Amino acid sequence: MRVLIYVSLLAAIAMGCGGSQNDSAATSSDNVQNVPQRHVVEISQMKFVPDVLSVNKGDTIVWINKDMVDHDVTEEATHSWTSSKIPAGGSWEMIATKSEAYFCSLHVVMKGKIVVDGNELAMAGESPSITQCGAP
Amino acid sequence: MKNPETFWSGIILSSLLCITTSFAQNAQTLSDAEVASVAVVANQIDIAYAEIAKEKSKDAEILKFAETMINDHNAVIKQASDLVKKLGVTPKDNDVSKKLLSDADATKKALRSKSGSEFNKAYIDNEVAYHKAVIEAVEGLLIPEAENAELKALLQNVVPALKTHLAHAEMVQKSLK
Repeated sequence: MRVLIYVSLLAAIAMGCGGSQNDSAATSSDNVQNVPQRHVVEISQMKFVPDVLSVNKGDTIVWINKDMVDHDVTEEATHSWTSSKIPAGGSWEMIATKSEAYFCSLHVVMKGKIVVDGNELAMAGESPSITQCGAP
Repeated sequence: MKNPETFWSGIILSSLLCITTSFAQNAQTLSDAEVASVAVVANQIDIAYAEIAKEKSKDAEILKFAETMINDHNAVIKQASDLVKKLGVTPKDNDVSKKLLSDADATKKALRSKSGSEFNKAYIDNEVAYHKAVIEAVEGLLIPEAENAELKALLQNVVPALKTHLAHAEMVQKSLK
């Protein structure tokens, strides 16, 4: 009986270890995919650089104003969100939730685009979560 | 005066281009103090036009554009002022800055004589023409004349802003037609 319990215990440990290894690998892989990334868009020479940014949903995008004049980042279609003025040397960030076109409402010819999860077209609906605003 | 834009462009371009050409032909040179003066005056003039627009216009697009001109050109003046202070240079009046100011007086007088949609059109036509002329003058005269590397770099950094202002002005101009 004692031998049977011992063997069963070993078997359980062995299975547990195997299962644990597999679970660990899956979790690790998922974590790499799901960890939100941080992306930077420089506002420089009156342009958003890069002007088209591909991200995953939940990633953070930071706009850094390297020009000598104020800028802002405003959703283009309905102005559903805006950074308000980002002073020279300042920055602003938000979490991307969907693909959208944006522009600088102070210099309306300056335009950019966020592409989330490869979806080119923006759908009407939720606004992105704004997490922080202001100069560094 | 068949086309108002041509009228404004005629005044401003002939003035600035004459000055630019004259300098090139006569092999005259501008000192950095004079280049700085022209740069500051050119920005001040556009701020003055924008202030008139804020007084006289009720058009949202015109007012927004004018506000951007005031903010941006003040930012450029601040950069230029900080730089000349750092370099120990005092901006010096010269033929180019004097001509710009006298021409601006005539333009301001013409703008003040208009009202309503006629003013809006005259203001934005002038902005298109003025930015074209200033871009030409900065690229063709001020940058080549500037000797100090930091002053030259500042002028080069201003050009994208001027080109963006021009594109913005042309967009507003089209929307008024």
